Amino acid sequence: MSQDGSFSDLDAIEKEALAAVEAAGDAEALDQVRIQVLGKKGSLKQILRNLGGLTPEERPLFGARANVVKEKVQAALDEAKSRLGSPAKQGAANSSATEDLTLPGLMPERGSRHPVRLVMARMSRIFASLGFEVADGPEVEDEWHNFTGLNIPADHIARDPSENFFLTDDLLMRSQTSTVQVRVMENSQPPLRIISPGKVFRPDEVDATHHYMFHQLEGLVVDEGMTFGHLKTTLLTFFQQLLQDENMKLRLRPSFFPFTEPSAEVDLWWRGKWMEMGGCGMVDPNVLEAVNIDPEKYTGFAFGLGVERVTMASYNIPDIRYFTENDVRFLRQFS
Amino acid sequence: MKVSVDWLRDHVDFNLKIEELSHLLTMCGLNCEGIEEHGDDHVLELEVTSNRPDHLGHRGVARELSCLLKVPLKPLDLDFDTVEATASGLALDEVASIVVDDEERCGRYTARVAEGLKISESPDWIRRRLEAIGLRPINLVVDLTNYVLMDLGQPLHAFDLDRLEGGEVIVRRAQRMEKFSAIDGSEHELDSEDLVIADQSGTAALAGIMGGTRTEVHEGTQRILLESAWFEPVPVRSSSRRLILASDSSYRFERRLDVEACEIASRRFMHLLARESDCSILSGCLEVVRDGLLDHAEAIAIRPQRASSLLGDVIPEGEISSILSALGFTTQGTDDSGPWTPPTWRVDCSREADLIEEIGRIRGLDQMDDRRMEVRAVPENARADKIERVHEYLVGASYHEAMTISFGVAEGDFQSIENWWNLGEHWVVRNPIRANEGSLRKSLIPGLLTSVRGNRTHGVDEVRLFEVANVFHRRDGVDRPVEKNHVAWVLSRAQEEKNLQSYREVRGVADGILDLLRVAESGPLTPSWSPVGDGAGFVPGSTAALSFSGEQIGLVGRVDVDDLGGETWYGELDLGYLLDQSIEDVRFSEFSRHPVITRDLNFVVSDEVLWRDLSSEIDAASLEHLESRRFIDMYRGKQVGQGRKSMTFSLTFRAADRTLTHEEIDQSVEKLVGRLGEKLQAELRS
Repeated sequence: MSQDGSFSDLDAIEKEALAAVEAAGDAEALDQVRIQVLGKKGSLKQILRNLGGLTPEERPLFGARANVVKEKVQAALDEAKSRLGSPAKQGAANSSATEDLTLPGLMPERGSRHPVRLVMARMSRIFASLGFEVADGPEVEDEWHNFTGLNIPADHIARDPSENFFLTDDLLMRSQTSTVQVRVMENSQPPLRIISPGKVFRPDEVDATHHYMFHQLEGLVVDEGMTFGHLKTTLLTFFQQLLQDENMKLRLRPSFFPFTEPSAEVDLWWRGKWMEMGGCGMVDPNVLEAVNIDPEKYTGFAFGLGVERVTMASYNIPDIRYFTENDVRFLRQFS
Repeated sequence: MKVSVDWLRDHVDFNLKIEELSHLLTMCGLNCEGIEEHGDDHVLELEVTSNRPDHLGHRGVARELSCLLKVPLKPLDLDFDTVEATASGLALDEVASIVVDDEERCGRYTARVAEGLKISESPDWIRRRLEAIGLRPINLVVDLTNYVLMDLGQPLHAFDLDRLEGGEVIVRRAQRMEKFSAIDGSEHELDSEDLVIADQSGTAALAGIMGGTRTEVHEGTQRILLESAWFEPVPVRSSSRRLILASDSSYRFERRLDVEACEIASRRFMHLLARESDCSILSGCLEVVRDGLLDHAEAIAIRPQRASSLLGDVIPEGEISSILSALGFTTQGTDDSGPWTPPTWRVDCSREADLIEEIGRIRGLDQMDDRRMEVRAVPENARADKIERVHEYLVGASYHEAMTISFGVAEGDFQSIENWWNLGEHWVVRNPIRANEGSLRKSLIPGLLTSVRGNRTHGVDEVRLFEVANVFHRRDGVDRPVEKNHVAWVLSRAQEEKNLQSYREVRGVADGILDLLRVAESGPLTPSWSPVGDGAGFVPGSTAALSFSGEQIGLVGRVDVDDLGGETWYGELDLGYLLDQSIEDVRFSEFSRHPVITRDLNFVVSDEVLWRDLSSEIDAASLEHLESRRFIDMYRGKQVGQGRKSMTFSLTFRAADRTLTHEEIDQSVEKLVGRLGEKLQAELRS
């Protein structure tokens, strides 16, 4: 075949190739045609290397035309191939007994969610099913939202500089997510039913069960007629859902927090002993008054649960320090 | 606090198994954290909340039991015989005197005097009890101060009266730099903020915290002056903290003690001293008390209905009276509503809410009826859902979610990456736990790189981590940190990949997040990536920044982590910003069912021409029926020549209403070839 790079040569290549495909009797013959025409040294490639007879204006058009030929031939080959059956298909049909289908699959890699975030999300979902909406607040707070608005008096030990991460005289890393309660109550009127999950910071020495950065999930309900009974029922329902156990044991043990009255610790019966999961209580009237909510008309309850605690209990993780080490061998266990 | 069961029986009778007792106390607010056996006795470790200093003595604990068990508290024997004058014929006010210089800090000071003492060991029963709760017996006088402290919660201090210069007790502020040797052997330099008990020759004790060696009771002591006082809580705490000197006394004064207790405790001490030794106790008590300190607290009314409705509890009539009376509250009223005067030791009770808490606490917070809240639908939170989907996307892309510390500055060169995000100074905490964790991070890079290094050195060859968390920036005119929600991811592999493969993987995550959040569809703002100059902490020539109409909100590049081989890449986006741009509304758009025509085109361009240039020219050409364009490949080598590269991309054409012909597509391609040749000197390669 002549290869002086004219358009008529392209037409000839196309015609011959299509005829050869038509004539091919088996897959091997088809493959020969493919190599002769479309292969690296095939006729189509050859002609594209020899464009000396064309003007610069003609060259792109010639290239585009060559593309069309290539597509047509490829389409014919594909069609013939499916008609004759591909070598692979024939092979599979003939020798299925010899293929080892017990080989392991090529599993796509996948990552994982952090266990603390997984548990926090799960806790949030359960509270959502109980009608609680998520509220967010800043991680750096002022004294008013972290203490004063929560009825923590000026000389209270919780305000001691050594018990907190202060940035300035007024600003500190929030030491509890109750700060979000105050912000929500400042900006909206009851009825309120919110949770605020998030990071909190206290300068505790790090050991197996303490860290200076951890997560709390705080809940707040303010409405007419809220009682300690509602608080108890809410927590009980939550933990029944969390543990998927109707008969789990929970106790509310009287305690003290400046922002609730009465106050209680939430203890969960876990693997043969009582484990402290957080605190709760009826919102102190001073806290309501500080944000102009009438404590005579509205009552409310609040609770704060330690997310790391719940996570450690859920997955049987012995040491809180695993959470911030981020060893992949730890993290991928929770994917 | 350690509480001996045997000791409790001095104050109240009960017949309970030790487990019952511990449960009963736990459920009224005295959490029992442990039980030890001491011979026939048991010692409970009780957790006392900071609002209940009255629980810091056996009698206070016994009072709760008496209320819970409805058994009366036994009266306290405070009687003892006295003499009118010393052996040498002097009355109390002739042997000692009290001057209180600072009534603001010392609300009450009482002193009694005993003489004719022979300092000896305590009797067995006192030694046994003190040892049971972990105190070391010393001698009768010192042991009795400790005994009464642990019995009634009131700290006492006995001075050797013969060593108090002039028999004078002066309660005053310390002089600056004044030296003080405490009885525990520690030496201190005082400050004018410290309150001291002094005599004419100097400091004898740190008020409320600890006595000094100069005036302490010793083997030869014959006369003592017994201090029983009331100090303001906050100054005691500050001094104790500053001097790093704490004691059972300071622990109690810090929590605000019963103003009445000091007089009672002083008498109880003398009663026991008279019973257990031969001595003469001088009649009378020296006392200085601040005006108004002993005034009764205001009586508090309680509405039984309010108590029932707050607790969700049906409280029988008379129950409130019986609980409050048993706890020491008194009333002139005739029914539950009071008003009730709290006992002086209940410094925590001043409002109706406080009384309601007492009712709930004693009746049991655990036994309230179930009350269910109304069903309520939670409004959907599109923003939170999107953040959740970003997490899931990264997990699907095989990244593991990390949780790193919010504090910490990136090391060395990486600081410039933090500075790229925010040029302001780091916000700094005043008391970091670790020296290198004093600053609030401006980027998520410090923590992630630390975690990557940990993994790589543990032999994980390919590490993919991500985190979504807040960073803290400084902005002019804002006097608090500006918190921004960022997402960052890191890919670190021991084996280097070729041809920008890793860059494109890490960059692809950013593109994927933009696509997921549909930020590019939202209208006037368009995202664009551009190379970042060197010196940003990245390996030179490896970094690209994402900007949205001029605002820089993302960074992808290779970081040079020394000591780690292979390659480490990092990407970070201002997620909060992207969420603000994200489209809420998703609408169906019709798509064509006609066949597609695809053209792969290969151009040779000069090295300076970027894909960004090429792609924007393709877009600007507005080719008819162009459905999409896709980058396929880039190649440099001998065939294309020095300073040049070949770029291959694929164009897909499709019409909504008909099958396109090759001829019309040829025309479009021709138009594009012409345009790229003209604008970018791009040559079609065949």
